Amino acid sequence: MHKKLVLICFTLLLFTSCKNQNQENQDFNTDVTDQVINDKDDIELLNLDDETETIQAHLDKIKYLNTEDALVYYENLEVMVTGKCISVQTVFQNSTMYTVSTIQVSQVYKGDISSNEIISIVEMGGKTTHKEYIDGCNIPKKSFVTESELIDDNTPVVLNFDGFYAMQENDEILLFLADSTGFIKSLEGKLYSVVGDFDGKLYKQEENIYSRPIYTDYLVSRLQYTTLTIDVNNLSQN
Amino acid sequence: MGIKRIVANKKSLISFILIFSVLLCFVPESIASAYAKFGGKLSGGAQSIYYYIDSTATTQKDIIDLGFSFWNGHTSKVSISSTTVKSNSKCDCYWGNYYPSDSQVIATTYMYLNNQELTDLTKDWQWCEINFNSLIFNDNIMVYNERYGTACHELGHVFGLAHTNSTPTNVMCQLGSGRTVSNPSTDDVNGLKNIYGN
Repeated sequence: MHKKLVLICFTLLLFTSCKNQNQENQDFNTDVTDQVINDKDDIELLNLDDETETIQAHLDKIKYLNTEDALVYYENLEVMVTGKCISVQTVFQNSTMYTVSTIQVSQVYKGDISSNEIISIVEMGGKTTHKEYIDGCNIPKKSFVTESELIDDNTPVVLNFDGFYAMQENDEILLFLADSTGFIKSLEGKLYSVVGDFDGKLYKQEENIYSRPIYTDYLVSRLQYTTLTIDVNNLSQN
Repeated sequence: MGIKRIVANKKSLISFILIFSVLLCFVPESIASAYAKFGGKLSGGAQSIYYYIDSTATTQKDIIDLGFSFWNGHTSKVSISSTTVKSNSKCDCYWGNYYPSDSQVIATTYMYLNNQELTDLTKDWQWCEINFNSLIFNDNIMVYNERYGTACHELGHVFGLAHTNSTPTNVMCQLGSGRTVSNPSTDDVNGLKNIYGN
């Protein structure tokens, strides 16, 4: 009889635990390794040293680009290219930090662009010093804030959005782009932005294979085979 | 029924209750609710706090006021009202051309500690800034209830609530993930109470 009772209790516990697997009552910092569902290794794209402060902002979008959307997007994109990031520049506008990167195009899949052409891309976030960030973003003083230990003005800071980072030099990427000329007022010439922000930026994982980084709260930007992956061999070239 | 059998049944019942009670201690915090937290929260609590609407967001004031108001009245530990004094505000709201429309970004929330942005959402913050992207957050692209629902959603982040994208009936589900409501659900309120108390 006791054995039956123990078995019933165990079964009930198992049931409630399984049900709770589907609940989202959890803390935000889920271990990203839980998302790995195959045996491919991560490729670390961005490995920041201990001296760098990371600033994480949180964003909300009206639409997220998933794998199915990517195929639809491909048909309607203005520009789709692969290339290599050759320079980055931090820009402040409207008390917000952006990164303007120059990309040397290697292959054009859509758009009126030539191979080897240099194009400019604007993204949110980026890297600067602590002082430049405070000054550039015009952070106001609050009456209830008590100043404690301050960060050195020259401390490097990196602003990411939900764990996604702006491009760095030598990044090899596949980009879904839209014309955003004039968005950065201080910049002349043609300017593009990434469709869906981090959704439309895929990093080279191996020859001809590009993947979108996963969300991460670590000081790295990581690729996995579980996220949106595109084989450019399947794309028709311009 | 013999006395021995009655006693045996009672013993079994007591054993069942005891064993099940012990096992229940190992069941995670909440089964009935679905909410997510960053880990950090507003330092000093969220009782009688203020928000500030910048001049850039004046045209969106009614929407922001409405969206924010939905978080009042659920617990005595959380209440928020508007102020015209920016230095007293724990939530500054701006509306502007922050991100290209193709980015699909509606709004961003920044958490501040000591006038510097936080590095870790698991630690408490002192105040927040919400930037509504005018290129998306407008009546050409988003209908009225989507906009005040977004304001409500963003204030949820200020309070420390994270996304619950598998539950579209929560206001903390992102619009891009199919949110169908514009004010807090029972789950959302349970999350708020879990962070700040009843």
